[in-house]
Amino acid sequence: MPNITVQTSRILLVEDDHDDAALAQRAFHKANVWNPLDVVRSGQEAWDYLTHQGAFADAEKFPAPLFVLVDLNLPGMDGRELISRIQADSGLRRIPLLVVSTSDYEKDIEFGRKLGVQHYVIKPLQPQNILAFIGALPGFQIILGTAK
Amino acid sequence: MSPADPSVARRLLVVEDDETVRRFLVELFRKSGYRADAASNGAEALELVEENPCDVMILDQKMPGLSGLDVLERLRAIGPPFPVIVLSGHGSEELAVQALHMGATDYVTKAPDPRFGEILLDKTRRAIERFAQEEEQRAHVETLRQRMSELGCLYALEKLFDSVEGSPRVALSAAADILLPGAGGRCCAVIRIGKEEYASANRFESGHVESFDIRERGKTIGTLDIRFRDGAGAPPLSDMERDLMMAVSDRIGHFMDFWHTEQRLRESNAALEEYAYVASHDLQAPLQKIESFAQLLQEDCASRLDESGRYYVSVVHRSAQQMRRLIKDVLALARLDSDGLAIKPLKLGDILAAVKDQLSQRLVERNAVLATDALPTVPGDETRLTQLFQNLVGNALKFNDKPEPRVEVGAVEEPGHWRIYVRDNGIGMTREDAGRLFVPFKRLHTGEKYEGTGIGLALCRKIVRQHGGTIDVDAEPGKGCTFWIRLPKEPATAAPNDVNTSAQPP
Repeated sequence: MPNITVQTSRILLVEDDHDDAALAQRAFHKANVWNPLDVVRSGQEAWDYLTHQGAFADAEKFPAPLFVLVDLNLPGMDGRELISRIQADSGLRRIPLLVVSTSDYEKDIEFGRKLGVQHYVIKPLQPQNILAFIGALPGFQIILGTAK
Repeated sequence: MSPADPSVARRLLVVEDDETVRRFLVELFRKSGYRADAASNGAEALELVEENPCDVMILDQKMPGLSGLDVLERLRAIGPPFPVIVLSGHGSEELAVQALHMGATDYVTKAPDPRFGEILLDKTRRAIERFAQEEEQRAHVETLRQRMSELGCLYALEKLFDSVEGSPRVALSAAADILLPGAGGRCCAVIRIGKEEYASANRFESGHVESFDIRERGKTIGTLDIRFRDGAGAPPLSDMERDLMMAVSDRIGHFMDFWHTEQRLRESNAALEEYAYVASHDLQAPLQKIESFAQLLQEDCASRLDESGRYYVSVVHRSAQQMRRLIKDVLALARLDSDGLAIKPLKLGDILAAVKDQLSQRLVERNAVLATDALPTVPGDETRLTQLFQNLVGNALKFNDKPEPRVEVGAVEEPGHWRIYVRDNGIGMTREDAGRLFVPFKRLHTGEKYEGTGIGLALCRKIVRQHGGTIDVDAEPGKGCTFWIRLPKEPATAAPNDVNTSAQPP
């Protein structure tokens, strides 16, 4: 048997809260999505990840993620600023974004809409949110596990 | 000019070239109580009145040198005015009419008539009276004119202060420009509030100043300074202008008070909004975790818990859910106050279709029917009216123990408004309960029987009131209830609890 290495698409979660990250991880598994989930804890870290800087300099190990889940309230550079930066970058702009927020505050939702973020989910992230989001993305390769 | 007071001897000037006639006239008037002087030609008469104006002039029309008409013309140029009676020769009435056009008060034809003296005296007395009346009217009209311009100025200030938002700077600078209508270049206005100054466009620095205090709630916060141009012989403020400036400085004080109050409100609104955000985010976050992780316990670890353990977890889960609903509803109620309404014509049929769509799952689960009759188009805020009917139809389904719940929505047209009804065949309520229905947090049932927060109908009432309408209920226990919503056909003016009626903020 020849050795075949498949480069697996990764998913980036920007979430400073451990518990919420754990809930998100579980929701992905419940939705049978088994792509590796990288969790970063701040907007700055996410920006480093996306632009291959610092701890994420290895572009091969950290290729552009399949999509990014962003919590709006983050320490330092918050989710709003991160999204603004991503949307202002011609390369990164193509990466689909899903805003995950505690808040159903209209202003936050409106903010995302203005920046062209189509997908907004109120926490806790549910498996069906993930499936709906993925279903809305054009032609992405998702690793689906065997349904339980 | 003093009014026609018979006790005061009138100064009268006879202008007549014929000495005999002149003497006759002077004699005639002196006998009748006038202080009569005489001039033998126009130039002399003009000189005399320029030095010392008379109360009435008897002016011969036909004289060598300056004619009567010439004198009238020059009198008009020098003022001040007094009544003039022209003596016209027989057959020259046309010239007399011309004299009237030039400002003469009356004329008498010189004629060998025994009643000539009597006629002249009579006409002179009447001319003085009429002239005094006219003077009075002129003064009255002048007062009115000034009052008008004063009102105009105050009205303009009113409009200005109403229309200028953002900063008092623009309003006060403009106010300085308009507050002295007709003052010309004689003075300029400077409004000083604290360290700020707002001046009229024609501002100059030197000259004597008349100052008016500007008070806000009794406390002097600045002055309105009227500065007069030096050496221009500028007359001081008239009493009327002074009154006006006092009214203006009052108005500016009110404006500043209003502005400060508005500013404070704006600040406290912003603080409230901030608070609402904190409440919606920071209070909900830990609660969501309790709820989520309790759910995880139930889903993932149920087999490892015994029965009481599963019960405890279910209580944690349910209570967290309830608390989160409460926060959500309280916030919704609070936001009705802080967010403006976006009023536009709404087809209630479309609103009900959206509500039906949102409740479709529950309708199927409950085997329920939502029947809508023909519904009108009303002016309203789409989000809120959707919220209103969602709550009412949701309640109709919730408080219903029939195997086939039925909700009917329809409308009755009345003059000026629509009465929309939401009728159900549910559990109904007593008359006493109906009265308690719209109070926030007031619940008629235990949370175990019917879950909820007790805010839904308070929210409904607030929404209806914001639309200038009313809501009430007809109900009987066991016979369902009918909610009646009265909505005006024309957009309502803002309800008192609205902050504004502009479009929703971004």
